[in-house]
Amino acid sequence: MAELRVTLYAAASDEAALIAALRETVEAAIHVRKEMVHGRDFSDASTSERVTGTLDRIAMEFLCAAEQLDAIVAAIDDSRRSYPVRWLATDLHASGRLP
Amino acid sequence: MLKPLVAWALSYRILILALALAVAGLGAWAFSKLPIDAYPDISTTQVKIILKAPGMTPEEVETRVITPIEMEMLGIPDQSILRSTAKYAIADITIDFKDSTDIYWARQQVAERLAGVMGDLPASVQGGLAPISTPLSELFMFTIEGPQTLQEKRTLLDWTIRPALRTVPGVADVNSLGGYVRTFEVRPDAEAMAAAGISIAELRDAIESGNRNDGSGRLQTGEEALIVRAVGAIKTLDDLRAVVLRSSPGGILRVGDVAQVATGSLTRYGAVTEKGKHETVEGLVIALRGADARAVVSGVKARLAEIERTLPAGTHLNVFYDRSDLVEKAVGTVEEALLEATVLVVILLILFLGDWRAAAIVAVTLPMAALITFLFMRGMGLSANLMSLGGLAIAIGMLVDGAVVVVENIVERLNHAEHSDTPRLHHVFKATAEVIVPVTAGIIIIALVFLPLLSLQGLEGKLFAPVALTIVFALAGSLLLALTLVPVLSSFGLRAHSGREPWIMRQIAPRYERLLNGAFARKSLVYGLAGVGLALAVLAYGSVGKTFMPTMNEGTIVMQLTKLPSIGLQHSIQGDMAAQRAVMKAVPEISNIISRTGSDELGLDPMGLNETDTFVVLKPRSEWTGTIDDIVARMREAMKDLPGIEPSFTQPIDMRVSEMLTGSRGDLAVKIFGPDLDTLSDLAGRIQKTLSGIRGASEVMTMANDQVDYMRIDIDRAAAGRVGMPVDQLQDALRAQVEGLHAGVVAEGQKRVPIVIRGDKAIRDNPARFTDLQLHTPAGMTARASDLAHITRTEGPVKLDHENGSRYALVQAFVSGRDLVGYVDEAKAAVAQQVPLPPGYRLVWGGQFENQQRASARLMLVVPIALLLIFFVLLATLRSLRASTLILLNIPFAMVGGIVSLWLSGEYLSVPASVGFIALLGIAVLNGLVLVSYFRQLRSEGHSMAETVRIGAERRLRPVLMTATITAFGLVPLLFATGPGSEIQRPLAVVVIGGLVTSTLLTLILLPILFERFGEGRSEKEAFDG
Repeated sequence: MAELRVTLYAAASDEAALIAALRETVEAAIHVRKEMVHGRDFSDASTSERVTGTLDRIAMEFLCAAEQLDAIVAAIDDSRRSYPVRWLATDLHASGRLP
Repeated sequence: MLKPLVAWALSYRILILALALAVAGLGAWAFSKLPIDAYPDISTTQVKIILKAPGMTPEEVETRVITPIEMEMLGIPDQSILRSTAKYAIADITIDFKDSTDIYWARQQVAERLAGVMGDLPASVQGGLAPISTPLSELFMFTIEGPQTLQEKRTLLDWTIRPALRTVPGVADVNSLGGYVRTFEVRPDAEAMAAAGISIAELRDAIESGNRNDGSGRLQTGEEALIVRAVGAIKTLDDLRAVVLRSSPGGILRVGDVAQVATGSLTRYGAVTEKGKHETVEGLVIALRGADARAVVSGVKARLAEIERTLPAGTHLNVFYDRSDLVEKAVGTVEEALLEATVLVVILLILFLGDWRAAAIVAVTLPMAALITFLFMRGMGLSANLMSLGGLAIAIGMLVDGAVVVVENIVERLNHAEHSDTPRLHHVFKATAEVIVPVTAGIIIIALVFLPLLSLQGLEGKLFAPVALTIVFALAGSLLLALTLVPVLSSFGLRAHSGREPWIMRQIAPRYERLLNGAFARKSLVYGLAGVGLALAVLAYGSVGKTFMPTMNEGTIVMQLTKLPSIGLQHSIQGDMAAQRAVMKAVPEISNIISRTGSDELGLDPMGLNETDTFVVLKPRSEWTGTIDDIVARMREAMKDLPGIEPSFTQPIDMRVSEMLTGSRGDLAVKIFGPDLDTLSDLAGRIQKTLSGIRGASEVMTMANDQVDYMRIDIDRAAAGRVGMPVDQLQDALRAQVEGLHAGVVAEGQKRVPIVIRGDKAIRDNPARFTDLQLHTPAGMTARASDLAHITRTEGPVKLDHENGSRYALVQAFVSGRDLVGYVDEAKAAVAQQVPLPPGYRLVWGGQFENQQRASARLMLVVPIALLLIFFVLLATLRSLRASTLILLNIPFAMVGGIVSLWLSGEYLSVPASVGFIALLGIAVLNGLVLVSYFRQLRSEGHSMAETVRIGAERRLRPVLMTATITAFGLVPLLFATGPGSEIQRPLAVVVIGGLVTSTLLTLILLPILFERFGEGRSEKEAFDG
């Protein structure tokens, strides 16, 4: 069964809404980190982000089975968020836990 | 703190627009609700006690009324001055408290102490605290015209019009002047009284006890109760005649048997005359302290319109003084100037920015800042008046500075970022954020320079604190707008364009470049010219006259007339009417003229019978053939044909302000303090003569030498004792003959008609018959007054003045055609030389002059403190001691134009002109900061010093020119305004406009040269040059 590492890039203000939506379908731990994004693509930005010229983003990472991906994307789509979310999934070649 | 504000505003642009609309709406509402008056509330916390002491001479009033009250009042806390005046039958005591004192607390203190001392005063003394009014309170005056007699008109005023007007909100009282107050007069027949053995005291007691309606309680009749009413009040003259004095087996003795009973009038203490034709009756509406003058007048007019419908046929009210006219004209003058300035500023913005959108965005800040100011004003309880709105007019050019800098930088950034992917909002934010520090520092500097005005004391403090507050409010509003609404509007409205300089800059810039190059080539010449400018300013300063305030033209002239102090009322009235006829004939511009002589009913203006205030109402200005000064000159000329009547000229508010401040009228009031009346009179006469001889004295007067004739009745105790006549009863009997003795009132509906026992007119007009009067003594004997006393004719003072318990004599001077300070300096030297003071006597120089001295002293102290604060702001902004010092050194050069323009225009250095210098100081510093901060930026970018000063000056040419021209043109309407109040704003406009010319020239030419030479220390130079 193929495993994926899914990364979501979303507005910081949507963190709680996304976590609430993901908890329904994702069993693995969800890692969240704050990111300050500088760039020229402001198509996803809120007005205040357009004003300050910086995107106040979070990145969420978790592992899931490949067949779960559609359900997760659908859950994110249905979540009570305010801004667009970008996601990417990469195949996981190996993983482990060292005590 | 400010960057997040800008970011927040740009993030919620619709909310900001909605808030701006809401603020605009609230501001408009606040403006409509602001109390409006010509002047700010300039009154001190003042409590006045007015007491009437019928028949008493000034000396008796001083000894028996004023001295005990003064002794009681002297210890009241927070008291600043206690002034008293004793006149014939009137005691006028004024207690000034410190400015922060609550008026109601002060009145309570005075009332408590007065109640304590009233028991020690003579029984006939009546009165108490005057209404809470101010010098601005007299805001509506009218006469009653119609076919009625003067007595009927007075009854109409006292019992119909006055009660109706007193219910209008904001009205403290309505003063009645002129006419005759109807009385039921009992004129005792001395012989009949003596034959019947009735004394005046018995007559009064009988009338008082025979004049009462009363209830007796309830009687029970079965199941009902009857209320018992005993009717015994006098209603008619016949009732009064029928009052029984004595009953004996031989019959009863009635009032009518020993006295004539008829309708009469109270003793008159004054009169009102009109147009040189006849006497009339005047009503004077007094507003409460702090009332909205326009609203009160509007309420009074509405009530009078209702009353007029109910007046007898043919009767109407002739309004001859309506403060709302002055208020509307004064406020209209400033409003017009504000509107014109706004138009000029918008035109300049379009010219300098070359972009109508940018100009429109900046222009929006003008009305918005004004509306925010009105909100602040309402919150702080400030009224809209000449001074507060004037502050807005002064600030108008400065209000756009912040917005201009922000918009200019946004345009600049958008031009450079036309093809950038970064959001437009971000460019707007960055552009605004870049200039937050200079914009905020600039506005703080301008606000700081005006703060010293808040420290002014006295009249100047009350006049100019609203100016400073309004400016600070407006600047705070403009800063808030520059950081919120302006970026938001810019984000919507501004477009990137070619970046081509506007036409006006394309014309000016090359010329400036050539001028700057020439200046760098001839630095010595520039230094020399600046030095010459400074020297010229020092010379001009010596030649410019100094005064306190320009006189505001109120549009109404008050001609004060002084006649011989011993004059009787009838002759005084005849003199007034002759004066009215003379000036109306000589001055066709006069439409109406009303004089009031003597004291008013409330005693708020207790003049003597020889004193008259004449209100001269002029026709519309379009019908004048000269200025108001020409009219006054013609009136003065006309009065020369009337010997024995001395005129002086003032205006209604001006007159009351002078009275409030010094207790006297006139530009200069010299008070001579000392114990002895004769010495005071002598000194006052000599000082009057000295002051009259000094150039500029239009009228110099003193009442200290004035004497009135007295009939002195020295009671012979032995003689009086032999016939059993106590001293007090003899005095009462004599007073009853002349002044009259009150013996109750007759109630006619709501009217209260006094019953007065008073001697026949034949006795009152004949001193010989008066002294031969037969009086019945309590011992049952009859004696003549001349038998009981030594009667002599002598002279005595007209009035006696006290300040803080000490006697003083007053010399008043009106100065025209010359500056006040120059006149006073010369006068002081002349008096010191020609009038040596004996030991125990001292002089105090007061009046308008005192205010000027106090304002100058205070500004000399606080302006340096403000400069120090500005220095700290500069230091915090530039972080360079040298650069900050250099900017401050620019200030004296800025003053050159101000002083020279004052000198050239013939205006005096007054408090408004000083405010102009203060404004100039702020603009000079701001311009210096704009230039020097850019020099330092260029240096930090690696430019050499030589490049920096040239490039920097050329690039900053536009903002410096914009700031200066917009501020100057914003004041141009004040320079040419002609309405009431324009006199106050003009010196300020002259100073700022003149000063801006030299200040801008020196900023653009001298400052770059000075910065090149002194702008950096060795360490800074090394740091920049690497």
